[in-house]
Amino acid sequence: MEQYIRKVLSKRGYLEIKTPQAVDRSLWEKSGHWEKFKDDMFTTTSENREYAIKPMNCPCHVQVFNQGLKSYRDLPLRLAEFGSCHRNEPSGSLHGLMRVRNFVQDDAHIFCTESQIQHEVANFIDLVFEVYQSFGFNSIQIKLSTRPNKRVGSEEIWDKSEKALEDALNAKSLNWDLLPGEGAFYGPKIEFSLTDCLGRVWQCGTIQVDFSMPQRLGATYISENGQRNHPVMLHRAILGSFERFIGILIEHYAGHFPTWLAPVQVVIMGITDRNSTACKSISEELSKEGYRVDLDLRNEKVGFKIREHTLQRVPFMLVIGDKEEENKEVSVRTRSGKDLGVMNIASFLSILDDSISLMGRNN
Amino acid sequence: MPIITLPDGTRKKFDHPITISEIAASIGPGLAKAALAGKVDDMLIDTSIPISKNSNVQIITARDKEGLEIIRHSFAHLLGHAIKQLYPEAKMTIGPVIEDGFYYDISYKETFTPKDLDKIESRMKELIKTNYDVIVKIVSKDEARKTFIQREEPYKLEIVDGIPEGETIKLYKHKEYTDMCRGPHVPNTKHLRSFKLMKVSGAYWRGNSDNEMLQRIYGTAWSNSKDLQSYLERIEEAERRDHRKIAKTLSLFHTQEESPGMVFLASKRLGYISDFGTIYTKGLIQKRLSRN
Repeated sequence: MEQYIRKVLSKRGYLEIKTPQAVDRSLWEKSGHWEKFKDDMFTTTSENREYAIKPMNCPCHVQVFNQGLKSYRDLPLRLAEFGSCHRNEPSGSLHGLMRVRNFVQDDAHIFCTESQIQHEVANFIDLVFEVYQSFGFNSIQIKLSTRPNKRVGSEEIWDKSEKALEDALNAKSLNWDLLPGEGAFYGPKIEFSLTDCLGRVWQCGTIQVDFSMPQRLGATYISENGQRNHPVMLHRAILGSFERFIGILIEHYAGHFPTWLAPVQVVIMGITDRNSTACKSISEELSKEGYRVDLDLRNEKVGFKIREHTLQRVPFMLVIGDKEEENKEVSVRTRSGKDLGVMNIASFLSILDDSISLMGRNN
Repeated sequence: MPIITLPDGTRKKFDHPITISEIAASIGPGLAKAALAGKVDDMLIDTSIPISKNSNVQIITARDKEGLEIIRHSFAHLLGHAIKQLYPEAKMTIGPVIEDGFYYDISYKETFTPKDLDKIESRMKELIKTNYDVIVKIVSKDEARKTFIQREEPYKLEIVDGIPEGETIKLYKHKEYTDMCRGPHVPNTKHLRSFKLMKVSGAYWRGNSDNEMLQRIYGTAWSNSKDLQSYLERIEEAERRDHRKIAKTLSLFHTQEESPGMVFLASKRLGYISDFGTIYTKGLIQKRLSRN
């Protein structure tokens, strides 16, 4: 599975990293989080040093960037982490998976030059659309937030980066709303929201330009003419928090996950004990192929088992009796109550693969 | 004397300061009936406030987004009116508009039960039926103070004290009930039709956990019964889809008191879903492969 992650990230030119969970207070002071975010961080002490459990990954990613001398040829450098973050949200605001204190961000930071912003943003927009559509969300709203009154950075760099974001959106002929003055103090941002089947809007993805943190944390690269420059840092996430996104998916699909997301994709059950060995061997075969399979060998009537697994929203149910076992076939049913009939394993796998490759579409 | 320019460019000249309701009436009886407020050079005002300067004016009705907001805000006052009739000792604090409706934070010695909500809702309906006029009065800070001292509303008094000297304050009279608000509000309760009280929860005075815990009554309000109905259906559907309920049925995760706000992804099923990053990246790869 790590291979999968690396493959996709490297395809998009990302390096996957892992950074520490607890970091000395001094780094948070340097990054400015201690001042602004202190009450929202969990802290702990050891040997007279104070640590904060990271509420975000960015300062750690800058530390990774700072290893070794970087030149303009190293940019853009894209560092990704499925980072587990803790934030001390008020207990009254906690809500299932939607509002939690510990969550995993699909976080990444792109270190680049000012002139690379637009290209990186454009690539990111493609990625966001691809991922959201895979999850079955086709209505995506985009908001561009520009410079607030209190801000860092020159007018020139704000002009440039706001234009880069705007051009990236316009080049794809996307509809977007402008939120003047709503940007962060460190740079403009784009936010992506999706609409679920009940018309509720969830803000999930974001890409934020940051002129401040690379300077605060001393990130530099050697430019083409030999100067030491600070790179621009792009913070970006597609899903935001995995936990919250899973919550959104559960409600969007009411638990009827499309096959590619279903926790259990196939359940295999025998009609009598005699068929157990055959069930196990098919289960092993499918597991080996990477499908998520459950075995139900309980001594219960098959009708009862089917009802139960239908309620569990398992997409495919395979039933094996003496006849199926003899012919090396399986009887296939779906959670929507369809009987797809008896077929050999290869035919079933092609149905399963088709269903998986639909992803969030037509489900 | 004011020249009023309407959104379609029509200009109307009046020989005296003119109110929104008069302007609406000069356009037609239907609009006069429907007018909730006016937008005068981008400022919302009550239908009864006279305009003496040349202005661009838009008549706001229930069909406008602003109109729905006004309806919701007026419902909060109506809730206050009903509560003070039923529970005279209750103290009113703030009652703002929120997405889909409104709420009011109330200080009261006893806890409001669902039965109380039913009672309050019925009283609100009775009050609506009397079609009373909502009367706005612009007062000085001093007069607002006097009003709320006399009404024994300490929280309102605290809010008045926080308003800068010299700023005008608007009081809205719902028969014997008086509330304070920036407004505008509907001119008559006949515009308040489609609502439902939803639930009670706790909230701290001024959002500060060192302060007294108040009771917050939530309501939803719409400009017509169809919108209300479809909202209630959406809420019901959302409850049916509550991820916490579904997760329980499907054994997806659990939480417990010892670790608030953190999730146990423990079962076998969860092993799968917790590896979400893999699932989606895997999905992307599968898609890429099928595309190539």
